[in-house]
Amino acid sequence: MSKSEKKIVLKSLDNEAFEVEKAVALQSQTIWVMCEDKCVGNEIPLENVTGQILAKVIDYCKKHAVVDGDGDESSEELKNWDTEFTKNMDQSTLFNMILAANYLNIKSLLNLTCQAVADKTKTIDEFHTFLNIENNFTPEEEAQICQENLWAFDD
Amino acid sequence: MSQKKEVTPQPTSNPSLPDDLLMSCLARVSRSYYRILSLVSKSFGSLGHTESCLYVCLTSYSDTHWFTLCWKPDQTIMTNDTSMKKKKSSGYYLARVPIPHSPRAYFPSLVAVGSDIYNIGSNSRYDLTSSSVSVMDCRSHKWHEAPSMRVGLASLSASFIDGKIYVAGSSGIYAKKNSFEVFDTKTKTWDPEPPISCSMTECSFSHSRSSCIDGKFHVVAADKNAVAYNSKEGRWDQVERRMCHYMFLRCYCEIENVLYSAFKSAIRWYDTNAKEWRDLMGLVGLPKLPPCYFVRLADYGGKLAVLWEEDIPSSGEKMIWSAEIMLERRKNHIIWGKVEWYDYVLTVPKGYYFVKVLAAIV
Repeated sequence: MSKSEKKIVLKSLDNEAFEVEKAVALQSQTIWVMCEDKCVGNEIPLENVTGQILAKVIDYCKKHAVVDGDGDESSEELKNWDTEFTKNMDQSTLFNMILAANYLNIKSLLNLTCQAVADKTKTIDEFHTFLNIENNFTPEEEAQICQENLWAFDD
Repeated sequence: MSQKKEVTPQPTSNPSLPDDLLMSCLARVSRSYYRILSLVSKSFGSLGHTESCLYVCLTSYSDTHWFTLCWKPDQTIMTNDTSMKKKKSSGYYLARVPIPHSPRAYFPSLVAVGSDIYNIGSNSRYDLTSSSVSVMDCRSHKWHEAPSMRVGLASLSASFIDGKIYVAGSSGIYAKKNSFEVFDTKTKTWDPEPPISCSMTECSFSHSRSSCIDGKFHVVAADKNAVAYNSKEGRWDQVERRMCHYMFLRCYCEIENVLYSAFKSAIRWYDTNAKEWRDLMGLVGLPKLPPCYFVRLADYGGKLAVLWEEDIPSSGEKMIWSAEIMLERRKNHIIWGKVEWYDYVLTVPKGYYFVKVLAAIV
């Protein structure tokens, strides 16, 4: 296999091109299917992912790829790396990462980013604003439920 | 907190997730946050994920009280409650289930089936017969009535196995007679012709205890005679008395087909192969338990939940403590218990007593 065959070019929504090892890109089931079908050349257009997000996705895939005996990272190290990876992402980035992982069909990344959102969401207000979920309790209902709970905190 | 919070409009650059991905995130929220989730939106009562949720039933002179185990994050969740203390080391606490007028409940008559908690022979005083059955739906926290038993029972003991609730009871107050009833939880009907009960001389069902081990419905009588109903072969077998030794009081539970007991302040399990009670090993860090009247055990999604009470001297109150113990079978004869956390989870008046602790799948 020549060197060029082992590389693949991913093109983002905003026309940013990333040349990556095939083994790295094939962690995406979506890209894997595209390559299997031979319906694309060496350049794969990804219409739903911006360059900024795609760069992060590729970082993740590089870290998690097992390339020619290069995959000797301990699972502990990988876990720490994953934690650091999502630690400082803001909500918008995390959501975009989830959408990208879903579109590209990278299960482990989808798991990681969904878990990160779950871990970052802790208070009622965060659930409402962070996840954009409507609070459909009436003020009376809310007050009642809070009242029911209050004494449980009262030690 | 009485003001409804306005939902802040999101900047346009913030994507919103489609429902299935949003659910993927929510499904990863630890079960301890469910209490908070229930406050987020009404529609979360019907979330697709299911996990064990621990329910604690306490009784006082005239009332039955239900609590559920919750976990409080570092942040205060009631934003304007200035009286709230800093979080405790574990963050676990028992929250009162918002459900008024719960029917009276007794240890042997409460059975968890999926998201329901059955109270068999509810609404009766302990010495009166009752045939009524109440069910608490743990998703909506509402009681409703299930079909009544064929006969009113003065005292009974119920357990769940293979889609059915088996009820061993005694049908008369003075002239006692064994009664055996079977409820199909799928069709919600009582078997009109239940299997024949065993005779009083073999095992009196009056004030008995029951459990389901090895696919059989075990009944232990007050005199520690015990029988087991084998539903496949439709017959009652005598059970070795040794098994009943630690099962009679209210501090036992079964987890993955193993019977556990906290009798005499030690947690033991019954080895059905060797027909012997063995100490649960490990338990590093677990404080000494009080006598078994003040302890309850429960199957908490395969883990052992231990709850116990401790009087607070000269206060008129007592503390409820809880521990969650991971169980690991190491060899045939060793089960190892790892204490994941323990903490005090509730303060109640002295007049509150344990009825039962059980886990529903919510």
